[in-house]
Amino acid sequence: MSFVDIQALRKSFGPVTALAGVDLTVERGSRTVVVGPSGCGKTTLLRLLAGFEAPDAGRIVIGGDVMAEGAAAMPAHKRNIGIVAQDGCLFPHLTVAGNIVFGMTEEPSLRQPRAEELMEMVGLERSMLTRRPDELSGGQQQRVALARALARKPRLMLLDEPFSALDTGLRAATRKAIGDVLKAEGIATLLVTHDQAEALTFADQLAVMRGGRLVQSGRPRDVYLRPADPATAAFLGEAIILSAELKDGHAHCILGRLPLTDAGSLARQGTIMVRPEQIRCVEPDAGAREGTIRGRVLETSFCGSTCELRIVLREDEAVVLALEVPSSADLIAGQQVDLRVSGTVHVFG
Amino acid sequence: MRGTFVLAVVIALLALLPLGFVFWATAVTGWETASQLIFRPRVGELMTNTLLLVLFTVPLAILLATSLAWLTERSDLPFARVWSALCVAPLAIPAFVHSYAWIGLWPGFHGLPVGIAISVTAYFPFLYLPISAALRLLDPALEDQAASLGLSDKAVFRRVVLPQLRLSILGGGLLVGLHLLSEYGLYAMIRFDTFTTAIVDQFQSTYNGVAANMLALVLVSCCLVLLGLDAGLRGSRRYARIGSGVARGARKTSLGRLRYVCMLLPLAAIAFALGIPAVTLTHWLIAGGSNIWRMDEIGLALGQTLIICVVGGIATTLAALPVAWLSVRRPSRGSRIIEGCYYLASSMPGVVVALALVTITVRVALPLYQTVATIVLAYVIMFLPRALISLRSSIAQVPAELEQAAASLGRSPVNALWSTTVRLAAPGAAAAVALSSLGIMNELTATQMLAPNGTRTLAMAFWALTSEIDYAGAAPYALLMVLFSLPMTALLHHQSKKIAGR
Repeated sequence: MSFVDIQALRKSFGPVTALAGVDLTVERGSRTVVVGPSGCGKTTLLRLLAGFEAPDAGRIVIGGDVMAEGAAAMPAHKRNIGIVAQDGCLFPHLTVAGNIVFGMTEEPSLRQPRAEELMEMVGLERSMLTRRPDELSGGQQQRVALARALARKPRLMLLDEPFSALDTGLRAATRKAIGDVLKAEGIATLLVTHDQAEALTFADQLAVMRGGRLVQSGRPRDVYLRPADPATAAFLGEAIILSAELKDGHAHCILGRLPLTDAGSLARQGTIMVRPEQIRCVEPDAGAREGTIRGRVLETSFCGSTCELRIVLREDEAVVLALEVPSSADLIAGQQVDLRVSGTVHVFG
Repeated sequence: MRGTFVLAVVIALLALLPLGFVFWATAVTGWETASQLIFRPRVGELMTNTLLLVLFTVPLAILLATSLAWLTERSDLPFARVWSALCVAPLAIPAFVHSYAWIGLWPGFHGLPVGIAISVTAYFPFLYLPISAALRLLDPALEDQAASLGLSDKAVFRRVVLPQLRLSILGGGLLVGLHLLSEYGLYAMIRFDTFTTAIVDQFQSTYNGVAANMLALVLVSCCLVLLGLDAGLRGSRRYARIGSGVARGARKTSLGRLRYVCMLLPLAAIAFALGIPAVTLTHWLIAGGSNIWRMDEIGLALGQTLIICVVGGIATTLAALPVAWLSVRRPSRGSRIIEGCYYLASSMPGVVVALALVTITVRVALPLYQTVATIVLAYVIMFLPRALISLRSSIAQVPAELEQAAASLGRSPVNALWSTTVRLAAPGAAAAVALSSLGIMNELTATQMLAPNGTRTLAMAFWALTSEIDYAGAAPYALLMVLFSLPMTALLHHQSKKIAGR
């Protein structure tokens, strides 16, 4: 049985349905990321797990203990689930040390050494223990919040968009540091975010939510390459959605004859997804072979290492592709290009 | 800018006159006489009374106000919004009307226990208002966080909520403490002697300058000790919410079956703070019939009161304007020091302000003795911070860019200020006038000592009639004071809710 087992979880706030029946499992020591646009219910899911809110219906079991069943919920302070909130949520009236020892149950003489140990673990100087939360940077506040939550050796750690308030550079570093600490401690983690790049990087298991439902869950690579529907595909990254004729394990579409990822489909018609990174632009070949896809560069915008192109297909001027190519390719507007598609394409079931 | 600063400094110096006077008077008296007048049994007795009054009243008021604030803001108490409004309403009743009401019901009441009881009922709203506002503003995420760290609801309140209420409790406690030290009518009515009542007695009976001045010195020292205590406990830390984001609404604790039992606390508090004055006033108004409505006298008192309130209110607001503008637009060490002077000056009891101004005018500027100018100056000193708070927050809401835009369109600095900031801050200025006027209307001590001959404000007339034991005759005046104060109290309640974004 899974470490965390969520079944048919429902929660409404007045007329608004935040969760419309969510099932999710989390393995021991793994990292699960719940991702979705704002308002999809992911924060509600997290608050129900933490015990800040009681569900209307459904069941939450963690490590074999029933946390909530229907409206009967164990109060938050008895669950031993750690949470690191978006802004760290440090107690402004306590020092860093006061924050870290806040939830400790060890005897008082052991708390200070343990706090120092935790500071080291999250990569902060011991000398910061006497500081006030408002004297720390955003990233440092997050690390202290993590240390405070770790101090109780929680069985599950909830991360509520803890990196979204940080600068881009700091975000990646803090995410890696926190991820490494949690992995080393072997604590199952559930991260909630609306940032798809963050979700794909951090997750062992990715769960996509939309409109209070869990749309899809699985390994990040699988979800990215085999999304359940076009909306999920577009949420996780740029996607080219086309209609195609399906025949002998290939899709026949405006981009030519492309092999299918799952050839088992029996349907004759379908909607397929191609990721832009599968498409390569090359200089037009004079001796063009049969079936070469030709396009014209409409617009280029320089982004440093890469260049964003908008390319219109010669066969159908209505189809415009947005591609990213290495800026060394040096293409200009109006230029003719040949397009080569590699890899397989995904058919939406 | 420079002119504004100089003006603010001059006003600050004027405001510090009473404090300076007390120290000057002590220096002139000489140590020997001073120590004879200070270290005598009578002063020891007054000191004991005052200390006991403060030591019992302030903690009791804190306990009551915090319990009420928690019940109305954080529990599912039935009719919480109604109770909340009712807990602020006692502010509309002047303190001496409270003791008039109690004496009306129980004529034999006097002494320390009664003093404490009336003081708690009269002054707990000063604590309820900031504490309930703070409870509304606290970030509930912190409480969730504490629960996730293993704290039960009770422990969360003790270790997370209460520490964050500290500033509100200290601020409200200081205000109550200063009121206890400076109130005259409340304690005179129940024959409980404090420094303030003793100074007024001294002043009225013998005009024995030196003895009164020395009592004033001890009283001022008490005030300074309170201010020092507050500053020491407060520290330099502010508990700002860290980080950004919109806080969600606070969680309400379910009282379960105790819901209706818990209603007994606000019910009792309101019964004492509003019920007793209502019963007594109704009783006297009915008993007195139409005889007590001597419209000529009441009309005269009402007219004089309104004039003095409006003049005093406008003067106070004008006096607050320079430093309000400076502290928002050009905040500096200097502007903060000036502001501090105003707060220090206004925490001096009315009796000390009056004593100082009487002595100074008699000795140095006799033509000003018992004139409107002197009494208005006293009001400015006493009520300037009230005007300052309203003015400053409304000026802060006007973007400085508007002033700059006006300047770039060719207006002179003063003209730019007038046509933008002053215009847009007008509602705040009106509130400032209103708040200081309310203070003036219910002010008794300084008004009695400083008012020009023949002046009779509502408070003075009320006091004169109760001194003649004409309780029925005093009732219409009390009623008028309460009625005029009600809108102002509603404004305060509304503002405290607006601060919390509701």
